[in-house]
Amino acid sequence: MKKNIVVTNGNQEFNQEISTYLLKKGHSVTLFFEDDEAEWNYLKKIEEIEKPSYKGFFMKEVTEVKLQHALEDIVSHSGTIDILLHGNEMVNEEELLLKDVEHFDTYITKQFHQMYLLNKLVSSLMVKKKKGSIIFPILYDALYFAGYPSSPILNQGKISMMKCLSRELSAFRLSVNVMTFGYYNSAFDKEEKKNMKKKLEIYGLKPKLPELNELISALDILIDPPSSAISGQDFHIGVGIETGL
Amino acid sequence: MLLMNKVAIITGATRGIGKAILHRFVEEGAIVIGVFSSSVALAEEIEQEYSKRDNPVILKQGSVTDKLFIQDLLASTVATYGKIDILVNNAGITRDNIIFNMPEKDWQDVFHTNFRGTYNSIMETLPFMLKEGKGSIINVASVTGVLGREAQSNYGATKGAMMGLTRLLSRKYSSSGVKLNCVAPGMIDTEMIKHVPVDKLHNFLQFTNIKRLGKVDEIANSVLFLASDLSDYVTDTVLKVDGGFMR
Repeated sequence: MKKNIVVTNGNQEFNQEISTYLLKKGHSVTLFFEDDEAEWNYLKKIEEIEKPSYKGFFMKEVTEVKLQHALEDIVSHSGTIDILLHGNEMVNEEELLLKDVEHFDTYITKQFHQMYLLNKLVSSLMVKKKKGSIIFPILYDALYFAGYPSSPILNQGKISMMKCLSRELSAFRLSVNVMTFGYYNSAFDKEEKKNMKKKLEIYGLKPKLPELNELISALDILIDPPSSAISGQDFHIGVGIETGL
Repeated sequence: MLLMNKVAIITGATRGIGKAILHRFVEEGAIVIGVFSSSVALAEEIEQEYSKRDNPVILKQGSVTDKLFIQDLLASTVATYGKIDILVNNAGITRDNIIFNMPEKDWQDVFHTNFRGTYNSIMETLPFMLKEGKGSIINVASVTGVLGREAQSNYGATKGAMMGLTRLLSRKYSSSGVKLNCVAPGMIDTEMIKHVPVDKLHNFLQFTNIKRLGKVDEIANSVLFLASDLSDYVTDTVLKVDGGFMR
């Protein structure tokens, strides 16, 4: 069934991949960007046939008023928002901390503030219809030890937030979930791939390095869930990755 | 005594769990510097109570979100006692509401105190601990951060973020002698739960193995373990002290 989906952090390729995947599945996607150049570049990647189902939004600074207007615009076009998908920031927190210890906490707080505003405004639309879903795709954090960039603060904060939201929004028939993606082929060359597979043997012997797209398709479980009783979960997509908080 | 001559800083030290940690640390021989934001009378009472002990208890009024205050506090502590061995980040606030009714200020205030306050205190303390090649940082999280609770998405997100911060810094500094851990208390008998409706409390206890509220001393004992040398191989752990809630 076709869904109207809002995806944030459109500047990140990972979220663009998600958007493209959803468009190809026949859904309508509104993708939020931080700058218009990134939006313009992404538009060039979309196939003509998918363009009517796509809408880009450029918002450098997210405020409640700006967001309210954007959401009203989306609803006036598509009638509703079925799914809010908080695109991953793809930030390497360790690197960011080393680069700017003074403003690191400001950055983190700002990300959570944006999520709060989106959750607040979108959920207030969804509760009226008693229908909707909020999804947080994140990357498995312990891949840090294999050399992948990791965001433990954003990850753990989102998981905790998801559990709180799920417990309160279940009363309005909304579902809230996290999907944690495991190791993938990050454009590795032959040698890098070989070395990475060796490191990843901690998760299982002879691990296969899937393309990001192969993982993203698992979102179908949450986009078009086989049951209405799926909420408050952190789904792990990756062979052998652990599920503890 | 487990903390003989150790220098400990505890935030949110005049009430509830913080006060219990302060008492426990003093009993174990620590020199304690407690931080409080507003309860002057309670602070004076605590200082008076310990005025005759060899290991001093000093209470300082200020906000964990005030970097200058934290910097001054740490500098004067090191100038007087030569080191900082333990930091307990216990200061925290709640502003509960369902997400679509939550005022922006309530979201921001909770993040400011719980996450940014913790971040400030840790980042200012770390250089002193790294210089000594030893230290223990304990962040008081919550069962809400681990399992979630309705109307606490702001509080829960900050507690999750604190756990993530613990992880990030533990990865970086554990091999340099500084261990970072979290304690996640369940439903503890403090002022903080006075607003929880009785039927909610009963329901909570029904899903708790021990079938009673926790006591502040029980949390203090767990913090003591993480602060002491008994836990030298423990880092990046979220120690749930919740009487076996929902397990």
